[in-house]
Formats: sequence, C-alpha cells, structure tokens
Amino acid sequence: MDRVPGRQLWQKEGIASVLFLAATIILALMLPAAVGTSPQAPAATHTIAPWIFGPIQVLLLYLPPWLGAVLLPLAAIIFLLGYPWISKAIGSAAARGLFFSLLVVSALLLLWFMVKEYWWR
Amino acid sequence: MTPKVSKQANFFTHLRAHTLPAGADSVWYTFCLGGLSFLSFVVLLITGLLLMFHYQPGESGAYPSLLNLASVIPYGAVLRDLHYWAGQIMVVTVLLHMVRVVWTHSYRPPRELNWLIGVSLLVLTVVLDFTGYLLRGSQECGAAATVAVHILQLVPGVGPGLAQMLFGQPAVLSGSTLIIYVWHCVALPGAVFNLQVYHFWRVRRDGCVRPL
Amino acid sequence: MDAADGRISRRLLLRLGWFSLLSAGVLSLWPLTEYLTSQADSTQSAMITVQDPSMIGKIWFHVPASRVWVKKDATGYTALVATCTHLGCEVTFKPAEKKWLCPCHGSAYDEEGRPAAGPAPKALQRVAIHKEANGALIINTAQNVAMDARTL
Repeated sequence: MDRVPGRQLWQKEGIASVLFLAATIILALMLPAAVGTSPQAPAATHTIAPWIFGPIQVLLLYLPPWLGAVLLPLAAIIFLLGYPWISKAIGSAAARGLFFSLLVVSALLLLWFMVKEYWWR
Repeated sequence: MTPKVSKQANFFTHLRAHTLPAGADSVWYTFCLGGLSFLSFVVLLITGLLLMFHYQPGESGAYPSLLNLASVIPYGAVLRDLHYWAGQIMVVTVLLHMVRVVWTHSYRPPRELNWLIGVSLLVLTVVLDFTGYLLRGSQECGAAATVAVHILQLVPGVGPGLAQMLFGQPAVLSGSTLIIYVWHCVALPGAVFNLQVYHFWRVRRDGCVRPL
Repeated sequence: MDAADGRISRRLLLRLGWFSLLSAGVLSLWPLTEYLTSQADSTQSAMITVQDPSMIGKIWFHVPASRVWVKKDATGYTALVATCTHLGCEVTFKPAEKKWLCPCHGSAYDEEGRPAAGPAPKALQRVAIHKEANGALIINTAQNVAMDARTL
C-alpha cells in the first residue's frame, strides 16, 4: 500500500479549519442567537421547538406521545447503532437504502415543521 | 513494511500519523467532517467556559443573566452567538460525517466499535444541543423542558427517575435548572471529549479507508 | 517455588482487587440512583392561597405565580390547574374566544376545560378548594376533584 506523508493532510486540515472558523464567526456576527420570551411576560400563545426537534414536534401533533416521541426515535437510534450488522445481514445496498430513507423522512418532517410552524402560521 | 510510527509509540503519534495511505488525505473523500466537528467542539468548550463566568442557572436567575450576556456584558453577545452557531454547526457536521461514513462503507469490520462510538457521539451532541437550549430559560425553553420530562415519564419503570436525574423539575415558564446546567457544562462535554479521543485513536488503529 | 507462590498470590490479589472494585460499583448503583433522583430539596408546594377572593368572578381568574385558575358561579368556587393533559405545557384562558389554548401542540379546550381540538386526551384537572374562616381560599393542587365539584 502506498503511503504519503501526513504533512499534506495537516496542511489541508489547517486551511479547512481557518475557513471554517471564519465562516462560524461571520455567521455569529450576522445572525445573533434568539433570546426567546421572558418568563415574566404574559404566557406565549405559540411556542416552537428548536429546529432539530422539529420532526418530533410534528410527530407529536398527529401521533400519541409514546409512539411519536419514544418508540419511533428509539427505533431510529437502534437502527443506527445496529447498522453495521444490518448491512451485513441484508446487504449494504439495501441497508444504505434504508439509511437514506430515514434521512429523507426526517428531512421531510423537518420541512413540514418549518411550513407549519414558521411560514404558515 | 512497518510504518515509522510504531517506533515512536507515544500517544499523539498514535492519534496523528506521520504517514497515511495514499488518497486517504483527499479533502473530497472525507470533507474533513469529523475534524470540523471536533473543531466546533473546541470552539464550544472555549466559548462555553467563558459564558459560565456570567451565566446563572435556575428558574429565576437564568433569563436575566442571559439578557445581561446578550446586552450589557462586553463581548457577551458575540460569545453567546459563537457558542450557539458552533453548536448548530456541530450537529450538522456530525450528522453529515455519519452520512459520509455510510457512503464510504467505513463502518465495516473491523470498525463496528468505532461506528457505535460515533452513533453515541451523535446522540450526545443532540442532547447537548437540547440542554443548551433549555439553559436559555425562556418560556419556550420551559415548555420544551416540560414536554421532555413528560415524554421521559412515559417510559415504563425507569421513566420518572430518569426525568428527575436528567432535568430535575424545570418550571413550565423557564426550563433552566441546576441539574441541566451540570449535565450541559460538565458531565456531557466530559463524556463527549473522552469518546472523541477514543474515536480518533480507533481511526488510527483500525486504519484509514481507501477511497472508492 | 518462590516465584510460583508469588505469582499465585499476586493473581489472587489482582482477582480480589477486581472483585472488590466490581462489587463496590454494583453496591453504589442504588445509592447513586437515589441520590440523583431525590426530590427532597424541591421547593414546590401543593398549596396555593388566595387571601382575598373578592376579585374572583364568572370569568376564570389566574392566581399569580401559580398554574391555578379560579372562578365563581351560582353554586360556588371551582379551581383548575392549567396544565395541558397532553404533555404538560401551560395553557391559558382566552376570554374573547372562551377557550383554553396550549402553546405547544395546538390543543384547545372549551370554557369548562373539556378537550375541543388537538391531541389533548382529557379535560383540564379540577382541584380541591378549602375556604378558611377569614374568607381566604386554600387550593390543594394535589387533590383532584370532579368537574362539577364546588366550594361555597
């Protein structure tokens, strides 16, 4: 097996780090993080989950909590943990298909959440 | 051919190789996603430590101290914004890193253990993101914490104890508790850091994957 | 022979060490769980007091700094806890719409707290009121009562 000096990787990583830090700083300077509603203020009539939990908030609107917020997320985590073995059992193409279906379903639920909670209301 | 690195068996050369398989250093192969996740984590550690000097956990103290950070304390706002964005970015890069690992089949033997550690790191990153959000102490966070507690309590047997252990008793209009603070600032980052170091060490031990 | 003896005793010591470490870990599991799940330092009280109930009328009145709302009709006082029966968010009464609305998952209840829309499975919980001799109301949020229960 050919081997190359690690120095090349170090240089590439250095460049990536600098670009990445610059992007993070620009993002932080341009878009301040929200502070939300004060606990002293009158009770809010509508609260929205942080975006990564959007898919779960959408599921909670339509499914019983034990299914939408316990069983389905748990099943997804177990699927991810068992992925190397699932891939061995059903073949890597089929497993990859399942994996990307999970991603697409989550992305669609996130989109649904965005439409319902941000744009539509 | 024995690689040079085995002669200098110190910890860092185990973490970082002097030489590596040709092609494994291609940016278009890994997109640096694992490394960028770690970099975000370092940014989060630094900004998080600095935020701790002014943040006050708890139902009544959290939101006022957050407003102080966001408005009157010099550089408080930019530190908080950096902490927030580095956190959001870390969730995304960890997720994309997992997609990349699936795409290049890098979970295959002998790397199953490292895959398990990686999934644990993903879950812990999401929990860190959530607990960080709750520490904001706003009404929305109170609602989120209350919903999380009620959901955990649905788990038969261990649920109520687990909810108390992880969240304490968050107020419905605040969400910040001392217990969440300790998890977010000490216990979870400590666990993530140790798992990350082990994760990187296993990458070296199991060997780089050749490009497709 | 010395070496063999030494090895055996060393191995025994090592095993003993592992065993004691393991048993110490197992034995500390329960105390650790009890420590971490304890609510003994909780400051939340089940009792809410309204010193002067004169401002309570036919429309739901929110007792400040609590989750309790009280109203008075022809048959007496009734109190409910404004906790959504879905996942525990705080609901608020909207007098204009005569509805209780939950901010989290869009549940709505009618004026009496019966579920009207959204994922809420049950009516808002009514709780017991005790009237003191001096006229003050003491609401016990830990004691559930039926929807038609009233305190004169």
